[in-house]
Amino acid sequence: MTIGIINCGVGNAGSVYKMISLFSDDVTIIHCQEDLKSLSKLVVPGVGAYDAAITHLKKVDLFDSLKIYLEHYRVPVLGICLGMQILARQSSEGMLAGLGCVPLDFKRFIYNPHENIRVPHMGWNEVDFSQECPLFSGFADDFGVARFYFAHSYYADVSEECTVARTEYGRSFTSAFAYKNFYGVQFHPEKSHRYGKKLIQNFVDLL
Amino acid sequence: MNLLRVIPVLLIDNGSIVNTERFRRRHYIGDPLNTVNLFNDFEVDELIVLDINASKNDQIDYLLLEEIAGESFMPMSYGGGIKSIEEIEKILSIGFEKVILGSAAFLNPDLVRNAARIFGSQAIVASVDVTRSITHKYRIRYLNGSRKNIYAIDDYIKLLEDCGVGEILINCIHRDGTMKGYDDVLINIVSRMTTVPLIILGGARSSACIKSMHAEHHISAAASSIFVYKENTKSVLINFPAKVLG
Repeated sequence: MTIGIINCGVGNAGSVYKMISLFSDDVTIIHCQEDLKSLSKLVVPGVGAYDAAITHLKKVDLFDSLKIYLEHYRVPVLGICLGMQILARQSSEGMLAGLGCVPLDFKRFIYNPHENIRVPHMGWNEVDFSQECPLFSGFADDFGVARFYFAHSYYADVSEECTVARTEYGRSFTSAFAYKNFYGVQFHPEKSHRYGKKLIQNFVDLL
Repeated sequence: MNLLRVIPVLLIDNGSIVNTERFRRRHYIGDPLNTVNLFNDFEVDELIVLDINASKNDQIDYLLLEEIAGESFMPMSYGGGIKSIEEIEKILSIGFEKVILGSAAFLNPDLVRNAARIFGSQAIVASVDVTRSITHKYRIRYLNGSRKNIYAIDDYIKLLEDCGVGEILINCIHRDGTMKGYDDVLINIVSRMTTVPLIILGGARSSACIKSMHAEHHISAAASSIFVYKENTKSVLINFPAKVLG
């Protein structure tokens, strides 16, 4: 059964494809509604601006059809960075609503020179993860600390309901969530060397 | 929480990696793919690839970029000859996280604005080439340092940030390739003017130099010479000392 990676029109599904292909032979990129079939897992990657990505998904008729597909087939879904925002309710980055699969909202970081907080949050940062979350399985043994590459201006506050990893940048924010069959990571595993590979492998291995 | 990055910079000249001094003399370093592979093995924080001929030739070497991107699981930025949204889109889809706009940002600030709107600020870097006059005044230049940028530094940075740029790379011409140390005075001036992440390039002489720059200014460091030459020599040795990160 195939792992599908959504093409959001901006940025690249290619890097994610490359990393997932290390752990699975059956990966495909989803360009349109017709591609949405027989998927065992779904990845929503993201490099790009929120409204531009959602507009593209609507244009190729993937937005609503994705929502419907996800309501019918509860396959594991992984949202990466912008993809994580798209899975959520809304973001102050844009005017459009997200898919609404996860009860999170996004807002912008605020520049704070006293704490060296520049916006976007750009660089490697530590991720304080919950050991119960299968995405981080084996991290404690293999690495001790988890570090990933972040490049974003918008964040979701820590939520009791779904945050499974938090990161500090002037304040604590959700660096990963898990909610029903939906997972999301604010960082870029496809650009985070060994840490990213382990997380992607864990996602691929999810049953 | 230490977001201070150490970023090797690869200068590409007609398909080869080179090193420059004050934006002039070009010294051949090696093959881009081998070099990128080595940095991949070193698990560097991030990589910057700058094609120093692309603007002049009006041509971006997409084939080479595809090969480079194919090898990496680390964040990469590309700069050199980018003038349009289509080119940015192509480069991002190849697998680069960010594009670096140099001359284009000065000649067409709307490109920065539109690119940030479409691709997100975090994908758009502006590089600002700075030189220092005999009277110690800082001036900005463009097109590989050959032309004067009419703006004062603070006005130009404000313009770039208003357009939505996500990051600024200060390329210090007078220290480029000299390994004499970063220009602390310049860093001081620019870091006070910017609210976006800032990277300084030009002059790094050692890992210790980078660490002390981090401690003093809290901005990210990029360097070329120290990562392609054996310490204190001009013998080619691609390296990335672990102690740089420590």
